[in-house]
Amino acid sequence: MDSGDGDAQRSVSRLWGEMEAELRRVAQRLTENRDEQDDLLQEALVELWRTDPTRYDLRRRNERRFLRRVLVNRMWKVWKAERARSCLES
Amino acid sequence: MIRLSPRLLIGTANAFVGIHKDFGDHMEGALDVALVNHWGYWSHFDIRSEHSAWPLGAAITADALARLGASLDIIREHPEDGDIFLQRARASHAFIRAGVVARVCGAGRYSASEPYFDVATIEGDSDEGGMIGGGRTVRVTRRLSPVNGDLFLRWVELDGFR
Repeated sequence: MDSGDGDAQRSVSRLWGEMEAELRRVAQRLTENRDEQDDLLQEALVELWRTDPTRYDLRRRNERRFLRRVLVNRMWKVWKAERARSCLES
Repeated sequence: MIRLSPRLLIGTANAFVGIHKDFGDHMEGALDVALVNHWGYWSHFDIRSEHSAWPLGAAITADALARLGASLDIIREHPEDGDIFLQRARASHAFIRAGVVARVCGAGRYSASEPYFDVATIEGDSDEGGMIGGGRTVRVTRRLSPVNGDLFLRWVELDGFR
């Protein structure tokens, strides 16, 4: 019998493995700059950690969609703020 | 009559860790809640009187446990070993899971009025990442907080209630 020991943090890395490619495509649509794409993905990862995926029942399609929307919204917000800042600076 | 004891519940729940049980669709209610009640019932079963002192057997979902806890006035915002925890879902705002607090490992604050607690739990229908629906009983370290709507049932305070 295995130990049955776990950590809720593990769900973050597992889920990130499932979602990263899709979120990268979202980042690619927002910006062509590779560094900015990486920054946006980083923001999504932090949001995933903060929101705690164990608070979602991901067997349900609507909850999976909800979580995706949370992460994409975070990327969108950060991208918008970054655009505004660049505009002001230029 | 056996007196209510967190140690009895934790010990019984521990005996299930690592066990996988798939009931398919042949079960009414939530498996994680059913297991909490199973552990509670049999850990407090007195073979002489053929009666269990476990006071929370009526609830079959985490939401029902929360309602029962409210009616019995045993809902707390700070955990202690042996409490039943209820984890609030982010999307539906219902309670997504119930399990046993095996140990309170630490505490901190998101802000001055926003405490959180790192707890080792024993929970059914889970996986090693603490995701609901995993089908196994596992010991999981997780962060719970009243800020996120999480609650704790101090059922041991019902000793002598029934």
